[in-house]
Amino acid sequence: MKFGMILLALIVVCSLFGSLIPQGQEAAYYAQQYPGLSGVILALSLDDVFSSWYFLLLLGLLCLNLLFCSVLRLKNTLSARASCIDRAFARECAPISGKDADRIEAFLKARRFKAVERDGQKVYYRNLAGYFGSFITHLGLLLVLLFAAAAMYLSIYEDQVIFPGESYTMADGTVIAVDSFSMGDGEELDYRSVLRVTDRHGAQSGPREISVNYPLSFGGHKYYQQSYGVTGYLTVTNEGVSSPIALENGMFLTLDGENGVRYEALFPDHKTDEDGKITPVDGSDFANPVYLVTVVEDGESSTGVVMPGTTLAVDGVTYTFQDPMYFPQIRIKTVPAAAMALLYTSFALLVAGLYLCFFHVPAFVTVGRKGYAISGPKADVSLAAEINNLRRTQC
Amino acid sequence: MLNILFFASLIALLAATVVEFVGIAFKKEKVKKASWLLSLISFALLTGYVVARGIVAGRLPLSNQFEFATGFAWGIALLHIVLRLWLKQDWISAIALPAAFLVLSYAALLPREINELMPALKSAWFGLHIGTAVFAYASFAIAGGVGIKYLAEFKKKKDEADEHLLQLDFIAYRLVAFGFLMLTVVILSGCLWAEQAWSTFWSWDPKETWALITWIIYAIYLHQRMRKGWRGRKMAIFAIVAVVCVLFTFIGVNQLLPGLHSYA
Repeated sequence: MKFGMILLALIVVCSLFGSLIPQGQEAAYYAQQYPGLSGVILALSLDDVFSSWYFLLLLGLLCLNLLFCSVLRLKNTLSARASCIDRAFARECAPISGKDADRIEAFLKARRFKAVERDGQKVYYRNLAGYFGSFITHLGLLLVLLFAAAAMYLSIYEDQVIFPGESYTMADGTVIAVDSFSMGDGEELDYRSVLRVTDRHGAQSGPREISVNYPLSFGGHKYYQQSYGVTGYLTVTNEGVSSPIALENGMFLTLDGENGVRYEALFPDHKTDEDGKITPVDGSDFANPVYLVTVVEDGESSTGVVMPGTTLAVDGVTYTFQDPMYFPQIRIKTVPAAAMALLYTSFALLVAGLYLCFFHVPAFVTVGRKGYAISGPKADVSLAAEINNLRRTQC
Repeated sequence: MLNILFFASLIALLAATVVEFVGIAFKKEKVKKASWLLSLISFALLTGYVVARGIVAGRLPLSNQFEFATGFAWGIALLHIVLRLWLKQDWISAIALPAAFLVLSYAALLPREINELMPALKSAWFGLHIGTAVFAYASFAIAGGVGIKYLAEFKKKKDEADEHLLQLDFIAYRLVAFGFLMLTVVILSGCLWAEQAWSTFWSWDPKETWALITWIIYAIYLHQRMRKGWRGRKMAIFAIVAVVCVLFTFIGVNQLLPGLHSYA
């Protein structure tokens, strides 16, 4: 118990450091931001508190503490639950008049207390399940920590760029095809991809849109709209056959390995001076994009800018530059379904335990010839006040 | 119209607070009754404002700092009414009314324009996660207020066994217990939501971390009370100090520690 409180206090202290010191930055960042302290920060892993050995040790010790608490508490809880009525009968009672006793009994019945009678004495009781509140809470918290760790360490993440119209095959044979990708035009960017997933057994998900908060679960994997990017895009036509190609910086498009077009970069915007010279510039969106390309032909190369819609012909092959293409990055998460189900169950157990602990508190009222007594594992000042008020009203 | 409702509720709340303290100072029951009536009017106005804003926005009005602060004040006002009816005692007004007024005054300092809900907040978890946070914060705030009341009463009575002090101590404990249950739901629903939105349950984002710190502090409060038998002044001071942590989680984190919850 005391050890548990010390552990909680230490976790708070670590969390304070972890929230006040930016986590996961380069060493140079701490040297610049915390001159004189960066050595201490790095030596004590304060730059990565939540993955540090001491923080994980604290969590491990807390789990052990919760385990022992739960086991020890269960024995006491079962014993207390088994003898609670007997102990209520054995309570010393404060004397009351017969009218008061009747009034209290009527009040307790109205409050749906159950009653058991022995030798002319009655014990009214309620909420006996509340005895298990503390045990269930501790067990729930222990399971939350264990299953959260299991879900975290058993999860496999794979971030994959998939261009619209293309597909990606995972190691287990699952095929993810991106039909389309779109972005909302509101102030806050809203990214949406339409996916079709075919699992390793050939079962298909059908086209499904994914966006933030709305991932797709299918075939043992979960697919998230993680982020997006933008890239150059052109159509290559050779002997009447056209192929679209998403460009990567430095990509050299050639048939014979010598003549062709090298894609250097894509710029979101450009300026045109009085002489009609185009200069690429950076910008926040791709309103007026321009490509920087190098044409290599017959041993000579020339670098220049081309606008979307421009067609270049090199060595009998035509390269038509299109508008830049937006593409999604899909996060594929694989986690054992059992771990997730157990984690959700432990969440429910924790909430149920807290409810039983604080809002389903066992209470006993002994009423008999000798008088009455209020008892229970936790003092219920409110119930005592209500019963006292009844007696005062009677007086 | 929305602004009129908002400021009318703020003024009614101020009037209820002032009248309550006048009633206490001059020990006039009729004045206190007038304060109770004013507090009901301010609650009705604030409820009207929250509902109207929700209708205009087409969503639950809890998506930014202003809306949450208004919801927080509304939660305190609602708990005030529930506690008055449950306890049948008027001292709770002297705690809840100034608390609700201060929180609503803070809201009044923030931009009030209605924005479209950002995509990250368009989720079925939004109502449960933020709604339970309103009640958690409101419970903790009133528990802190009851702690102040306890210390003030103790100064006069000097006896922790006094029936009224026992009742104050018990009510603060019940409020903390309710707030703790709500905060647990906030954290767990936030984990489930984060898994849907970002693929991970927990990211150690400053808001998450401070919610956890707050949760642990109240867990220690409840443990010390239930297992160590702490009562009275110790618990009153604990409840007051813990509210500082709640306020930092609510305001300080948003202002000083940007993270995934920065839109809040």
